[in-house]
Amino acid sequence: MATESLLSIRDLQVHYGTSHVLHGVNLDVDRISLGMLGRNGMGKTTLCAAIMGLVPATGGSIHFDGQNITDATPEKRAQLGIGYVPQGRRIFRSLTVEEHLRMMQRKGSAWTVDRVFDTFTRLRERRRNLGDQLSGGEQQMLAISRALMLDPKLLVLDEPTEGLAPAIVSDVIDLVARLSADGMGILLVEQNIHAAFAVAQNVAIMVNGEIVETLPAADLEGDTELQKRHLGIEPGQVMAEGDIT
Amino acid sequence: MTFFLIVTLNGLTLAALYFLAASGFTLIFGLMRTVNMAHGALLLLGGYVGFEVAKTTGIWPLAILGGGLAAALVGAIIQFGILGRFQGDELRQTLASIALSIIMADLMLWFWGGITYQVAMPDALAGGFRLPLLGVGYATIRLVLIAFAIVVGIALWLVIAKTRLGAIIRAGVDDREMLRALGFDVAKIFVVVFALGGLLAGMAGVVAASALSISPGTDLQFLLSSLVVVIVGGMGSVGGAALGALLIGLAEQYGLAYAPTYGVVFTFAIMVLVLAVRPQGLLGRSEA
Repeated sequence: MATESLLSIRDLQVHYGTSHVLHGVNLDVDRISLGMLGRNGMGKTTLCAAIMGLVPATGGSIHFDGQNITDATPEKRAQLGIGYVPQGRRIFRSLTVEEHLRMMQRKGSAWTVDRVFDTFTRLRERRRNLGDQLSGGEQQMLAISRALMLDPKLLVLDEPTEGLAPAIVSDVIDLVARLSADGMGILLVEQNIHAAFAVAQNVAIMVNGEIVETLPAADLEGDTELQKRHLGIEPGQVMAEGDIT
Repeated sequence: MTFFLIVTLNGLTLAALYFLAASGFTLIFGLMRTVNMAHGALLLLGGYVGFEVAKTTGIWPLAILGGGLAAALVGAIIQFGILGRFQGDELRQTLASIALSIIMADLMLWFWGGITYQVAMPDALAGGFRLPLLGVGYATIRLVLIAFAIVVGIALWLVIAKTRLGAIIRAGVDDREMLRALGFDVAKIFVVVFALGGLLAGMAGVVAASALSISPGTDLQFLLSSLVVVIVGGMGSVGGAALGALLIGLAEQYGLAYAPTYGVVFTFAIMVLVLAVRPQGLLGRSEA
């Protein structure tokens, strides 16, 4: 079943042991940016892991770029062009910044180590530092950079602004918006509703392992009633940050 | 004083052997969490093959290379054909590797028999060496063995610290799942690392067969010492294997020389002490 969308998820089911985490998720991501919102524990991180093949699907299908990848290995999915920026960043603590990038280097990629260093001059300054000596913002820049070196068609970002200082949050938002403008597909999972609004053209809302609503970001931004119902946000209130999903 | 220094040298010799045997074992464990109980069998196989190569060609360095490569090949086949199928199921892998170890030991007993083998060495190494200052002779091969272990240790450190393969191995030790999500085929990397572990074991076998001798049972002796060394030094840490080998090798020789009745006790006393005070091993990382 070849579909039009870059990423096409149909009736995706995921179980952890006896608990049923994703209940038939349907989702399409194209070369526009999609924000994924939802309260803690609704299954957003599990969905990202299922897209990468890090948790097995117990039902349904995932197609990427015309191929069925439902049972593909994580490395196969990455090679096909899904870049993954995981929650908590998961930087390798015993590799230097430069080693992170050098090991991702491949011929013909649009992103080279030098281009990353030109884009993130902070990373060049820190090139000899180990992963666990970096600040949260530097780690996030590195996590995005190493995913970019795969030359991905789709970038899956799981709460990239979590735990970062406000100035760094806006850096991350600007970067993701720029990548989106360059034609990269973006799936941005966020607790920070403002970050999602700043980047995403469309937003999907996840409640209890299901996508209950997909709509243009501008519509959700103006609909405080909908925000309150699905996200538990009172008008003018910012969602709690730094929680563990 | 001379006696003490000779015992120390003996301890260092033993430590060098233990390090060569344990480094491959700990490398494999660090990346894959596989406790490869067939590691001793790979070592013994390397020793036998090295003996045959030395007998045929008469070139000792070639024997080391041949023994190492044979064990590397068998190690790669074991990981690719058998243990890789149970990746993520560490208990099953460990049990399968015990089975492999028994099967390999029996096959080697059938082929090489129950007798003791010693690899023929070039004349330059076979003799003794008069130590400066002390004025006593010491087997040259044992000094070469210590130097060989140091060279292998430095080479291994360079590979892990300075090469792209080394960076990928370290990344895999840190976060294997993330490495896969970045497009790295870890199954292939596991086979390469298993081959590297086999190479180290096989070379250790040839060196052991030169400095000492090998026979059925040598496999289990070195498997046990490797286990003790990595428990003391820290599972998965090559530096820990060096430190553990040093402690255990010296303790065994001092024990043998100064308190022969209780010699074995020292080894296990060290192990119990480390397990009680620092269960992850001296240079090991605690599980996050």
